[in-house]
Amino acid sequence: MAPVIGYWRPRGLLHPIRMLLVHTGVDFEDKVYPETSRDEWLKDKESLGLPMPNLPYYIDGDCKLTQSLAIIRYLARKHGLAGTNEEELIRTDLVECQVQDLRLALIKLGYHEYSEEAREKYLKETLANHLKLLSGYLGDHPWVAGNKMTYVDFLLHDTLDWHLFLDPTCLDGYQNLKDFLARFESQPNIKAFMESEKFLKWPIFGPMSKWGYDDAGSKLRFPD
Amino acid sequence: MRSGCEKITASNVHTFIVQLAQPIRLLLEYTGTEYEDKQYECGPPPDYDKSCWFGEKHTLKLDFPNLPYYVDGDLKITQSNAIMRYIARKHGLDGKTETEKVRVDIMENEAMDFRNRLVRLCYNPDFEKLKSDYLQQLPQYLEQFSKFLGDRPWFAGENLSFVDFIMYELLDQHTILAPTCLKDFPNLEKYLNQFKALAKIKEYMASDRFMDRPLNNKTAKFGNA
Repeated sequence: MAPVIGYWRPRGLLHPIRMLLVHTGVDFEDKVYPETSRDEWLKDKESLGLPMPNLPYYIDGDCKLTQSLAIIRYLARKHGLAGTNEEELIRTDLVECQVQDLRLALIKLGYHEYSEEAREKYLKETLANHLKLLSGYLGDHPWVAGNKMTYVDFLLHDTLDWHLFLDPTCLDGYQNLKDFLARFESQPNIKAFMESEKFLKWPIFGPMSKWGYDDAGSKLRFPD
Repeated sequence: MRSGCEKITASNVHTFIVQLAQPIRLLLEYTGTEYEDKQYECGPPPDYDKSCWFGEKHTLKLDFPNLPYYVDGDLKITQSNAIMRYIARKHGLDGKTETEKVRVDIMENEAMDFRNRLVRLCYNPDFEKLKSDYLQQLPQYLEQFSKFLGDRPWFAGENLSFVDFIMYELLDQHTILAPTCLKDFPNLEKYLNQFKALAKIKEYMASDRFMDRPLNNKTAKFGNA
């Protein structure tokens, strides 16, 4: 039986995991819980054998995991997408945490603080600072770890992609980040998936968010 | 070798976020690593001036300037989990089997969620009002940790790992917030005592290097002294 990943419909915390599985070419099943009601998840929550029930989850036989970063790290080790030497491990650990800070910052904006003024401030201060440091750290490496693609590239890609909805021009000063996105999206399995109808662009956040769920939030980037 | 987050000032040592640095210190002490503890003290209210840090922040050649930082010659890391993992790998404290590594990763993230909930409470101006709600919900989280630990000695399993340094500190903080919170979870109480009984930890906690207060910085509503 193929492994199952379970999550709400919006991209949220699951998307980098899904992209990684697509990239590896393994079969997997997507268990999608409708974001409009907790009923279906609450029925499953205590009966799946998850030690600490939560979404997303990953179930493959006896392997039952929660916590999105624990899941992606496990899959990375399994599929050769983890760092293999000390330098790669330091780089991936560091950028995993840095990207997580940036993800949480956008989640905070989208769920709690969103206004035009807050958006402008976020773009000018929070995002600008993060992008400058990430771009500097990536340098002319093709991938975060160096020459090897790792799970952190999936986290970075997703996070940058989120921000393109907030401001489609935000990467304009960072050619190496734009090149990174293009390189990532040209990986064959990823490219095919992104061009298929299975690929969900939006929403990125849940219905309780002020920005990130309603279609209006996607119009800057995709006006049609 | 310098660990970074704070500079030892004269008497009152007020750190920016003791929480994130303490597990690092505990790990350095446990592994017998010599280190220098640089502590930054923020100013008094109402401004809580942080210029002692901001003045230095961009001169340290950190790729992602932040506190805590860890500097060891040319190696300069930030992000407390990245620092913990670096030190842990050197000493085999990052999970010895695949099963342990998975448990370590799950607990690192569960602990972060647990910590974030506590920090949100402690720094909230309505701390007093929110405290009782927090304490009402606390047992459900402790129950999960208690079940996940089970009768294993450590959270990874048979072997001590860096997440035990994080979880010890978090559970200890909760016993300061609510002294009887572990009474229904004897395995968690046993876990804390077992951690404190580790020789190097016991020695550290008895020394004058050990700082168990303050938990948070001066702007917090709880644990700021």
